[in-house]
Amino acid sequence: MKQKLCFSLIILFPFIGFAQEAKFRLLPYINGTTSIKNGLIEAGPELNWQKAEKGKTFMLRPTIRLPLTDEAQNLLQIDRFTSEWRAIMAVQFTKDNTQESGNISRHSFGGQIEYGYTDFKYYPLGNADSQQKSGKTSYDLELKYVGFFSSGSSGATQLSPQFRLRYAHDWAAAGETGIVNPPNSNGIVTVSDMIIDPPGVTSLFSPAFSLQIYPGKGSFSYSPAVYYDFTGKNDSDNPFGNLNRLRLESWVFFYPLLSDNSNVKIGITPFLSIRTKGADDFNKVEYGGMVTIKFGTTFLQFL
Amino acid sequence: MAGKKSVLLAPEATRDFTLTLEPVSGGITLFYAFINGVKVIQSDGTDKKTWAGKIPDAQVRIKVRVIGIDNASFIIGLDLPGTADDQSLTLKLQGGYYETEIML
Repeated sequence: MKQKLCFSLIILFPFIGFAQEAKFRLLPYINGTTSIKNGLIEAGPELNWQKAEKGKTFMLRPTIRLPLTDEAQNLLQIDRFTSEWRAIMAVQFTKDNTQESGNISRHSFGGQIEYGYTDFKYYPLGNADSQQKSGKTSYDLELKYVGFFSSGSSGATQLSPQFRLRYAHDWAAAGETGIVNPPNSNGIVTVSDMIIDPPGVTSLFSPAFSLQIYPGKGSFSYSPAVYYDFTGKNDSDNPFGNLNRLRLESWVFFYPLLSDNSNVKIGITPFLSIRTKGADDFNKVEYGGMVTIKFGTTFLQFL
Repeated sequence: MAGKKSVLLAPEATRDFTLTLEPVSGGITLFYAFINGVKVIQSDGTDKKTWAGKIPDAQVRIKVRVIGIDNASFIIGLDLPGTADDQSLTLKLQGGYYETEIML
């Protein structure tokens, strides 16, 4: 049983993600932000406007995202070989109704638009001489609501309903194929991995709902979540009428009391993914588990 | 972000004041601070929050409310330049919540 548990955790480890983020003040109401996550660097200003006495805050963050040239060194080199960029505009408005006493309640509305360009290379004849280039533009849109409600007393239940709508039209390179090279002068045959096919795109529309629950005691919070993904046909802007999948997750987050390292949470969930329309390479019903460790994120950050 | 404000400026003499709230350990979700009933800090608990401004020389009531997970801890910092030494209190939530009132 113990061996089975260890094996399961090892299998789940690829799902664990780490991020590095820094925020610094540039001018009154303007911060500079940089972050590195999954081999991508993102940087730009963050404009904050706040009227705390009226419970209103507004944030505008235009940023640019580029893939790191050298992930091990966290190094970005921009030159004529730079083949990918993304421009992102994020906006957030929060209305907090909390007063000196009584209930704690707030509503936060967010939106994000991404627009980017990628220069893809592929080799239709399976040799370097047949290189083709194809520049493609991708675009995503996301709208989000995060609420928070509690009676504001010790041991009171805390609830955070969260809703998200996402549309994505992201071009991706085709998979690599093994190409058998002609024998060299010693008669040795080698294989090279090359991309044969041009890039492809499918559009995705994904509504999601989650309810964050902290029962008012203990170091655990609970987050049931439901996602419904509509995936369109290849090379189409329309995400509807092809493939649909329903996904259910039930996260349990643990908040360790680490000295000098606040807001760390460790999450684990089983998941169930059910194909409700169309066909794909997966089984009609897929299931498994996920683990995550998040740094610098609170109970409110989930979807 | 620190704000240099005088929302509490009274006709009488005033003094400078800085209030900070900072997460220490565990999950801190939201920080709130009120000075004489006026909300001056409303923020998530991801990092240190500061309010700096002028408050009346007369007695001032500061109320802090913090929401989080279980018995997470945080620091309240009070600074009255030229009047008193900086004060710093490390406090623990009880059942995911803590509130306190301080008179200055």
